Amino acid sequence: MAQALPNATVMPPIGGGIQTPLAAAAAAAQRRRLADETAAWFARNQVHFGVSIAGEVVQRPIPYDPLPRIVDSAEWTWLERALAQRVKALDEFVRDAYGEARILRAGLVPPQLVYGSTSWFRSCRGPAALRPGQITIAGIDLVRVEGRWLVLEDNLRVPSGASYALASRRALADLAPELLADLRPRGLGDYPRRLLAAVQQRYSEEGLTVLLSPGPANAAYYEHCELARLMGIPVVTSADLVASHRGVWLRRESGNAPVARIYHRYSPEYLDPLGGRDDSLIGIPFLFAAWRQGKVVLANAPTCGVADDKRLFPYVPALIQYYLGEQPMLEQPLTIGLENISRRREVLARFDDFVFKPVNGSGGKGIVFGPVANGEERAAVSAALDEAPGTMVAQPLLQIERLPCVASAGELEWRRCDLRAFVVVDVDPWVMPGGLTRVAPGTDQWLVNSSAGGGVKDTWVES
Amino acid sequence: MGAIFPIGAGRQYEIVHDSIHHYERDATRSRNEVRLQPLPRKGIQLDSFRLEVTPAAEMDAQVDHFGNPTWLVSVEAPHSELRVTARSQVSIAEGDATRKTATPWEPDVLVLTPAVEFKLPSPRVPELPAIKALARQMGLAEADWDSLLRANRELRLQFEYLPGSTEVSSTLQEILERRVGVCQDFAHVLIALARHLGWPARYVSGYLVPEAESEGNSHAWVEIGSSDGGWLGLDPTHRSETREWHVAVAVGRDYSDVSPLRGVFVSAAPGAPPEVSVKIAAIDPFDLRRQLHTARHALQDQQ
Repeated sequence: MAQALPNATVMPPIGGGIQTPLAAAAAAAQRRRLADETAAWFARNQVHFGVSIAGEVVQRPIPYDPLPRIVDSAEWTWLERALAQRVKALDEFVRDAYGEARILRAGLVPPQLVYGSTSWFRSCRGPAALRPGQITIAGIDLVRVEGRWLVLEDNLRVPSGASYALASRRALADLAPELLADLRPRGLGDYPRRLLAAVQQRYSEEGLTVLLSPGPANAAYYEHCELARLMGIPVVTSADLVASHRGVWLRRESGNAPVARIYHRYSPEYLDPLGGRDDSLIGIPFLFAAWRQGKVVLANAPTCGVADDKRLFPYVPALIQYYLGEQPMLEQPLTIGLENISRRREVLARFDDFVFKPVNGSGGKGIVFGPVANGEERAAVSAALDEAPGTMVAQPLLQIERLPCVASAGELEWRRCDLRAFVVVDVDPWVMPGGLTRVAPGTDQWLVNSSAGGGVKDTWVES
Repeated sequence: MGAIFPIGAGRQYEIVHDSIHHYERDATRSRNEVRLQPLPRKGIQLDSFRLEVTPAAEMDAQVDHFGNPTWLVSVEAPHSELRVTARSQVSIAEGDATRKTATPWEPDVLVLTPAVEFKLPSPRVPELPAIKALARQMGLAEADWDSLLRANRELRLQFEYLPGSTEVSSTLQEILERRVGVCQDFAHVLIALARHLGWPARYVSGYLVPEAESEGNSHAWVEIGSSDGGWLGLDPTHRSETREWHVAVAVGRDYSDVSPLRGVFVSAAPGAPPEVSVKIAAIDPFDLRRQLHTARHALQDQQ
């Protein structure tokens, strides 16, 4: 089972040796004070992320660790190229999946990953699905393992988190400007302008640009309001919009105003009850009809989900080779399908070496880490796989990089971290120079997802 | 479904498909996808089609992923009732009675063609152990056209035809357990068997054209993809292959892709199931009054 990573490539230059000034020098008391002050800053500015508690979404400040992750500039330049390559290939795949499906005819991807995907909407086939730039914003989750960057997940439906990266930087700029002055990391402030430009660059008719939010009960509602504010566009919900095959309008007392571009924050199957899930209560009927005829821009396009299905993930290196004719730069962990009974037995027999992931999950829900799973959890994984073998995949457990964080008394503790990188696709891809470093909620924790209680820290790219 | 009558060559028929949706409380707005326009097929020509909607609606004709004409119907005014009437005139030429044969697929060839979409499980036709058991019980062989023809003829021996015994929402598992159904259910069972035996299979909704004027002939049957291209129709309800009197309206993986009317409306109360009636009548070529009527409609369409 111990196979080489499928796409071994050139090693990125390593910049892991740099310590943040605070982690190295500052005294424990000083660190504790900064941690308290920044936490208060997050609470004061209501930098909230909703956590589900007993079925209710409770909005609370996202946990913040003030010690930034530092990435050196050569390493970052390499990452920018690698991320751009990946997102470009994923966009090609989306358009191909809705077009001629050449990749299926070539036999490189199993047809059920398109025709059998609940994220491949037959109602979205049409001219709009063939245009370049289906992806406007991608959130690619990376981890560093022994100095090499690996991709863990591509988020193309509604990648969240950019506003928390912006808040992380502003908190430090307000409270510890001397730190920033020392290292002068590359600025993040360009993100809202870049995102707006990318949304507006997409072809459409005349009309308003709006941010469509599922509403205040959504975990990332803070982000919806904050990004809309920074982009200078209104936040609307489904009750404000009406669609027909001719277009989309914002309902106003003074009359309906045409809407040309929608930066939406929906999981796309909920956008239109007639084109996606018919049980969506927050959908806008005929939104897909307006979109597929080019009457309105949706960013991201509702087509994108076909490319971030976890069952497709193992094929992404092949997509890069097929569409771009290039060697994939970023590596990714081996992902093992468990439909085959003998392979399933083999993997389950070495439970501790693997992490088990539901193919359709998000936010870390349902993920089981071999070494820390109790008897009950192990039995549940086995039972779930016997019942429906295609619903989970296994990946070898990685020794994910731990970064220094401020513990309760101001001492340092080392917690697992990943990095969500944000790639904005205008004419060319642009990578936010930093991104969101997500932090596991404790030293013995594996999951970094915010919905699993994880926190965030700032990410400094050396200029 | 009704009895099949032999029909004369070169006759013209009018099909009127009427559905009325009542709302307990006024709907303020509604959006509907309507699939009621017959598909042109070999020997079947669509001479005219009109979709009438009350109250007044905005309409647009599009073609869906499966190639079905799909009308998008938007109503903005408050209404307590939505009436959708589709009037189709079709000319049916005498069909070809010679038997056709579908050629089976090599599995590794099928996965590389678009037809594979109809081989995979679909929302209303999941993979079920009970289908495997039924195929075994009926002694059906994989990738064998004669076996499939036999399944089409003998399915009704396994199931009782009982109108009203199932609902539009009945699952395949329920049908297999209860062994009763209507044309829609038999079509789903045959699709499941065909896919299990290695064939791409699709669902067809449409009308069965009778010789004399009669009521209600909405029908459903199955088409099997042949590896040499083309689709061959099987009607498990009538235990026969399809003929020119099977007028297709929409094709899809199963019923969920072809519903005649799917809609969403804004109202304070839920809606009730629609009242549906279908009337099919042969058009008398000497009935000048009707021809004038048709000509007037055509004129209105142009305006």
